[in-house]
Amino acid sequence: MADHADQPLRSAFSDDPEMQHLLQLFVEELPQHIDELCEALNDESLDDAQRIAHQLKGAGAGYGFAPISEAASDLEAALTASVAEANAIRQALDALVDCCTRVIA
Amino acid sequence: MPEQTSSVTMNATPAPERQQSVLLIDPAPEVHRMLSMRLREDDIALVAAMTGEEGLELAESHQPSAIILELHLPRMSGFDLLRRLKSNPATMHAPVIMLTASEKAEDKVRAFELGATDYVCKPFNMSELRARIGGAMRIRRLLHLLEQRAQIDGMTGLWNRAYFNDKLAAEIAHMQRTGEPLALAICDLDKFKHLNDTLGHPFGDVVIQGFAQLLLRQLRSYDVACRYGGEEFALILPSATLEEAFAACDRIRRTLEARTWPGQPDLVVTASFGLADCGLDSMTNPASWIEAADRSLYSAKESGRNRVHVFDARLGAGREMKRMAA
Repeated sequence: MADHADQPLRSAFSDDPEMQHLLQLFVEELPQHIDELCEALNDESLDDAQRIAHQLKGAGAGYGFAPISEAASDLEAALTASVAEANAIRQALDALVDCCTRVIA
Repeated sequence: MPEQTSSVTMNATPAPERQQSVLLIDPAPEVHRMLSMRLREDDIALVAAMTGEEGLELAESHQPSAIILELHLPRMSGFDLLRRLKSNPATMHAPVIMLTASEKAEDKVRAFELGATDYVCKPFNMSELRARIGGAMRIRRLLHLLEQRAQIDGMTGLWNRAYFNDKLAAEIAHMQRTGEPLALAICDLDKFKHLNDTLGHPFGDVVIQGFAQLLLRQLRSYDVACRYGGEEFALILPSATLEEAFAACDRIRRTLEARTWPGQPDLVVTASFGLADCGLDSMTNPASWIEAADRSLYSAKESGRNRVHVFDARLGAGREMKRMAA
């Protein structure tokens, strides 16, 4: 991932004119999801965090952003690990946030 | 039996197609928007539920052709919801596709045990999900058809003779109760044996199927078209006067005569029709109706085929329509 760290992340569907509007909505709402996610983690409400990660994992690839799904999946795995490790969670969150900030519609 | 058959919707075709809809039960609005747009291309309406409670309600009120159910729901497990959908007679027939991020085999097995039709893992590929929705709806249609199979003719998809017998009795009873008109037509493809002998039985089947399709296109939605025997068909035409029934049959006759057949550009297929209607006091039971229509058909055949004859009680036989009007 380090190789692409500065590359903008485009949807696999970015050439699909029908998808333009949906992609825009998705990208506009991403920061809100990330805020909710961080908030949930700060409050240590792991269930909420898990739910949001799960939804991002589902929606990400559906909108042609496979890296978001992968990062969200890693975070979900870290959150559901039998022994939650703060470090692993932090790393997975950072990777997901990094991914989301590079997204363009 | 009339009680049972009267509950069957009156339709010329046994499996009426209605607007297809899919119910999506998923808490993520992104998934709803995406699926809604993708399904529009398939002419499928999306009904949206964000929670399990909403999903239960909409499954009952909308009767969707298929349900897509996310395993992770707020306040309710997707498995619990699946169990409730499958135990409610109003929702149990809709195929359910489980949608989840879990790849665990035990989850999949559990979903199937609870009655799910299919299982898709997130992140899903939209083309795959669409294909699976199509598959689930096809299974549902086939199941629906199977339920009606005892009353359907396998070759043409028309109602069969068993259904015809029940339906005619019910319509006669309805006519006697309400005083509404009723007409019965029996029609037979002309010289069909010759066609079978010269062009082969497979082609004969094509003609029978083609005629069945023509019947369905020409009839009103509440008419009942049945395959009565080999190349013989019966049409129950509720609320039709003799004139209306004659017009309908003659239109079918002319359309068939004008129709061309694949690989046989010069072939003309015709049919003869015998009509019976409610203007006769003596016709109180199905047997008398069928006999009257049969006699009219016989006289249409005797008079040279490719025509519609109507039953005349005074003659005890069929005759041309024109003379009736005079």
